[in-house]
Amino acid sequence: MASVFKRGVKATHAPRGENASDAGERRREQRDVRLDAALRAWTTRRGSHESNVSVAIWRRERSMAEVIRSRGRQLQRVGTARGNATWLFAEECAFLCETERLALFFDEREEECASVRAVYALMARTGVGWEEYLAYAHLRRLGYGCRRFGSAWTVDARSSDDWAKETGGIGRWGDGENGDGVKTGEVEVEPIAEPPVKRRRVEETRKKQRDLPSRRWWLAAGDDAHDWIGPEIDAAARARTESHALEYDESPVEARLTFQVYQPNRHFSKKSPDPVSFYVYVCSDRPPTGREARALLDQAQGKPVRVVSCRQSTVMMFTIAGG
Amino acid sequence: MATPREAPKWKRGKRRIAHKHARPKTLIDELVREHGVIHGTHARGQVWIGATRRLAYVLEQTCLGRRARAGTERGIPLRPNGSGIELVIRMCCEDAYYVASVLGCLCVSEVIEGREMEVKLGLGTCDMDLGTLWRRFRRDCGHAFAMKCAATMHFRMLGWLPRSGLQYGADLVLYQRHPALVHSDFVVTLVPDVGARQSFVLDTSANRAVALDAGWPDWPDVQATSRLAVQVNKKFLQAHVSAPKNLNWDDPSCLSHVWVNEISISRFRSNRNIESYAEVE
Repeated sequence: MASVFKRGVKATHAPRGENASDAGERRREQRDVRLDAALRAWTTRRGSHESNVSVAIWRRERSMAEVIRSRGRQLQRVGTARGNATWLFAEECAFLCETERLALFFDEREEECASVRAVYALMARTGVGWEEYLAYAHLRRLGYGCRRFGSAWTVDARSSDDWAKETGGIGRWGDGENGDGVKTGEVEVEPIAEPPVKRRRVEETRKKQRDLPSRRWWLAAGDDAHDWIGPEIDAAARARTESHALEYDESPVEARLTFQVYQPNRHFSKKSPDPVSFYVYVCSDRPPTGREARALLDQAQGKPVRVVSCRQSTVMMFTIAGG
Repeated sequence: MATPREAPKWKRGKRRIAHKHARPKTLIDELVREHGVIHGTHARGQVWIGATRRLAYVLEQTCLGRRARAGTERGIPLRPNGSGIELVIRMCCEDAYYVASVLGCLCVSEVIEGREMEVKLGLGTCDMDLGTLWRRFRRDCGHAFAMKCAATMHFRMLGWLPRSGLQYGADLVLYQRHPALVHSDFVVTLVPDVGARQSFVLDTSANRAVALDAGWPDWPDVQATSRLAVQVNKKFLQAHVSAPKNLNWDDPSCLSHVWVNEISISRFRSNRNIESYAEVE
């Protein structure tokens, strides 16, 4: 069967005068070159100069990296500013290391910075899933600003020692007990800090489902006195169903938004950040159920919600909206 | 999604003649007020109605059945509705139950077993009440009937005309007017939630030979339906059918405890939705 090529010059199109065996030899050489480059990727030396790379040290007690030397503008839309210092999450470190803009050290005494593989392992140890990182890196490479849901851009320099836990995000990133949800500079997400508020919201969702008015299947189009139907059938139906309590699915909904995403902006400021463009939920196992979708839309409070599926390193994004 | 608010997608040349056809709401009012109780016969998994030309037009325009080809109704005892049987309409189970229960203007009869020979004499059939009709349809169509029935009623009450979505790989397609006039707006797949699935497992009275997909739709399914919907210029909708875990599906009043949540799904092209200049990193 003839191959179907995309519009344009065929990639394997052999130059004029070249016979089949030469073309095959040429293709083999190209393949070998690419294979060698891929195999040596882990040990390839950095392309960027040492003086152009930011330096950070991983602080285990906070599960964040403290930037001790900043270079360039890459930290403008990354990390949490606390006083004069910038603190990075694990996935931010991984992305900056992968793009050769950050040298991460696990300890101040170390002389060799961590490899990309080691940073990936660190990221996994801190609880960041691989699919979540793929979604994060995909959005960052496109130019979007991506941040943990509910995390703060700036923190007061005089804040308590638990500031990392309190401002590191809510929902999936935090247990929701202490998170404030909104800090200086973050204006889009309303405070969802206190557990009672959060529990009320979940209960309201359940209550909304249970107390939905029963669909009046028994009413004809505008005619209450029809022979077939009427209030007797309606009352009989209610009496029959009230004889035994109906069990609704009240299992807790565990879907929580993962990231909040900002449009690209050269002049982004952490002190007055742009409004959130949309929220992202990473779910590669299966699409969210109806209840999960409702919970996500409630958490987003009117902002668009994109569901991300990462399979075999391919990132697919879908927008969900309520009816 | 709620009620249809956007203008219908008229087919070429149909917008000008659309005014000659009444709106579906008007036709349904006419069906209820003027045609009285329609008599149909349940056979071969469908409801057959012997109708006048006007009744057949009203039922077709509201997507409540299709004309049967001449001769296909052979062997089915039909009762005349109105002045006589001019055309035969075939109606699916979901639409028949909708007309019988919500509109209240359909009476379905069936041939009594063992008395088939008396049909020609006008005997041998019995009218089914709503409960019997519901259980008969569930016996024939399995669990899928209850779900489809709930979804069909839900969308009809919102003002849509649902039809089978088989040609688009979905459960339903939604029209604002008759399919001859407009293109459909939505492609709908039905997804029962956890409670509904558990109630199906507990329910033993429905026909289990009619398979109900027990697994959740996977991402490849969503992706395939989403791309197909885009290619045919429609929007993709997932209708999540929710029900209590211990719902008695044998009781027709169970529909009052079933609700449908619509979730619209569309593919997001991240590289095409950047609003400002991107400093690609």
